[in-house]
Amino acid sequence: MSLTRRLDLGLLASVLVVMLLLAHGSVVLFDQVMRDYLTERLREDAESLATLPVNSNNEVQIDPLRLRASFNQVYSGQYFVIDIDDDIHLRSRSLWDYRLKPASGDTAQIRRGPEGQSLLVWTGRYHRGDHHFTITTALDYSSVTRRLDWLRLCIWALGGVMAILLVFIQRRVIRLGLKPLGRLQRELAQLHEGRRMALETRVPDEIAPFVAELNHQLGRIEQVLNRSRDGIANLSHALKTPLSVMEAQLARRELEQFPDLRNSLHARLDDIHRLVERELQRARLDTGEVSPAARFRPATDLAPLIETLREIYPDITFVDDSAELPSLPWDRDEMLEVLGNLLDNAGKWAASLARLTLAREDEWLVMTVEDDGPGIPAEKRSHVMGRGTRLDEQVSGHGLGLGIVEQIVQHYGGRLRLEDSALGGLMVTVELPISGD
Amino acid sequence: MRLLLIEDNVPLADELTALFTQHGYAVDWCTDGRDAAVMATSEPFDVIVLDLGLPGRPGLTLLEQWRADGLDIPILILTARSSWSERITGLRAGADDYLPKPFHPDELILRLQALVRRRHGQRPSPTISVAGVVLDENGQSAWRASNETPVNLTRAEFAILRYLMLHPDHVIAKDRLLDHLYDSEHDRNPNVVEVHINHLRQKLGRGVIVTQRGQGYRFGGDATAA
Repeated sequence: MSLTRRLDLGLLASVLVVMLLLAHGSVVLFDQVMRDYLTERLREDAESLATLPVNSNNEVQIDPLRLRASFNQVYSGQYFVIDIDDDIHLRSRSLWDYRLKPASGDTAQIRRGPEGQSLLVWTGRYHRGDHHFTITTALDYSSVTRRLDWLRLCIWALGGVMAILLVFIQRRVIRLGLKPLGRLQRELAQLHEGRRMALETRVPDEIAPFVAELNHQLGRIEQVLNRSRDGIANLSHALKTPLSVMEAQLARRELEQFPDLRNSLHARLDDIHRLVERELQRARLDTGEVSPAARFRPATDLAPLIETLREIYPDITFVDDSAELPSLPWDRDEMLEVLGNLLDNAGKWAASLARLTLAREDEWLVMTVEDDGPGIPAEKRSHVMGRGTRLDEQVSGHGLGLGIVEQIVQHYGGRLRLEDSALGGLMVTVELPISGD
Repeated sequence: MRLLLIEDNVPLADELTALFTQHGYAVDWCTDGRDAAVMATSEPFDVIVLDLGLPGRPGLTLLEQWRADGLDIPILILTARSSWSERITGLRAGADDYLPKPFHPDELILRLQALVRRRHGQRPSPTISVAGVVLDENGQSAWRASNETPVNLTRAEFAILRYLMLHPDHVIAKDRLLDHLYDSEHDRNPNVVEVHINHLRQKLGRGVIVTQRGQGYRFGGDATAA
C-alpha cells in the first residue's frame, strides 16, 4: 500500500472519530445546557403558581385569565399540576385528560407526554401557611430534541465535508512533501539505466540518511568496479611485455633445433595472449555507461579509421559507402574495435577492394564489411565464428580480431553473420539494435 | 642502419637489441622519455622503435613533439595498448606504424624493413633490388642479377651494403656511414669500414661500391652488367 493511501485512510478514520465525538459531545452538552435553562423556567413557573391566591375554603382560585395563554390551550406544550395537601388537584387546561405524574427528585425528567410529545417535567414542593403545595410543571421538549437532532446532523455533515477537505489538503501536502521522492524515483531509474552515478536530489531530513548511504554504497561499488576493471586492464597490459619477451626468446636461433617445442610454446603464448585480450575487452565492456562524449559518431569517427587502414594497406582501395548517421548509442572505442578488426581482416584478404557500409534499417544499425578476396567457404564459416579462431594467422596477427568483434557484438545484443559478398570475397554483417535512443 | 629503441622493460629491450643487431641494425637504447627526447634529435637515426608507456615522458607526447619539431625519422610504435582507437591515435600523432604487444619478432623486423624502404621510396618486398644487385634482407645475402648465386654477407657487410643501396644515388661520406652503422657506444674505426667494403667488392665485384676520393662511397651496382 502506498504511503499516501495509508495516510489518507488514517486521516479519514481519525477525522471521522473526532467528528463523531464532537457531534455527540456537543449535542449532549447542548442538551444539558438546554435542560438546565428550561428547568429554571419550569421552576419559575412553579413558583409563580405557588403564589396563586388561596381562598378561605382552602381553594386555590385559578383565574384562567391570569395564567399564561399557553396553559389554557389544549396540548400546547406547557402544563402544570398542583397538588395541595394531597387532596386538591389542580391541572392546567392544556393537559386536558392527560395525567401527569410528578417527577421524583429535584431534577427535571423527560417523560412521554400526550400526542407523542416528550415532556420535561419538574416538581417542586412548597409550604404556604398550613398547606403543602406540590407543583409539577412540564413543557414540551420534543422541539428541542428535534433541533438537537438537526444540529447533530449539521455537525455530522460539516464533519464529513471537513474530513474530505482535510484529506485533500493532506494529499496536497503529502504530494509537496514527497516531491523529492518523485525526483528520487526518476534519478533511481536513470541510475538503473546507467545514465547516472549518484543521487543528487535534495531530500527531506527523514530520508536523507538513506540517500546518503545509498550514494556512499554506490560510490564504493563504483570504486571497487573501477579498481577491478583497472586491475584487469593493468594486468593485461603488464602481461603483454613479458609475452613479447618470450616471443622474442622463442625466435632465438638456439631454439631452431627444437621446432616442436617452439611451436608448442608458441601456441601456449598465443593462448595466453588470447585470454588476456578477451579479459581486457571484457573489462572495457563492463564500463557500462556510455557518456555522450564517448558516443560513436560515424560522421567524424569513420574517416580516421579508413585513413589508417589505407596507410596500413596501401594496395587496397577502401570504400566507405555509409549513409549519413547521427551519433549512435555505443561506445566509440568499441565500435572502432569492431570496424577496425573487420576492415583489417578485409584488408589482409582483399585482392584490391574492401568496402564498408553503415546503414540504419528500422531499429537496427547494419554494418557490412566486404572484400574481393578469396572469402571463406560456407562450411568453414561456423568454424571461424564462436571461438575466435585464428584463420588469418597465415597473413599476420594473432587471429583475435573476429573473437573480439563477436564479444562486443554479443555485449550489445547484436548479430554477426558471414556471407558471400557481391565483390567476390567475404561479407561480414554486424547488426546492432538501436534502443533507448 | 641506426635504430633508436625506447623501451623501459629491460628484458624486452635486451631481446629486441639482440634481435635488431642480428638483423643488421646498430641499436641505441633509452629507457626514459626525457633521454629519448634529446637522443632522437642529436644522433642520426634511421628508424625509431617507441614504447608508449614510458617513465619520464609519455611516448605519445614525445612523438607529437618530434613531429612538431620536424623530425622526419620513421617511427614504429610498440605498445601493449592494442585497441583500434589507440592505434588510430598513435598513427595520427605521427607514427608510421603501430605494432601491439605481444608480437612475433619476424613481424617486427618485416615492419621495420618496410618502414625504412618506404622512407627511401621503395616498395616493401623481401628483397632490395638496385642497379642489378639484389639484397635479401631476411637471409642477409646478396647476388648480382646477372649471376644469381647468393653470397652470404657478414652482419657488418650487410649493414653497409643495405645503407648504400637504400641511398643509391648519393655519395656517402665515411663519417656518415659510420654514424649509421654503429651505435653511440660502439668503438668506431674507419679502417674497419674499408675492410668490410673490400670484402664486399670481393664478393660482388669491384664495381659494386665506388670510392669517390675525398668524399666517400657510392653504390655502383652490377658493374659487369653495365
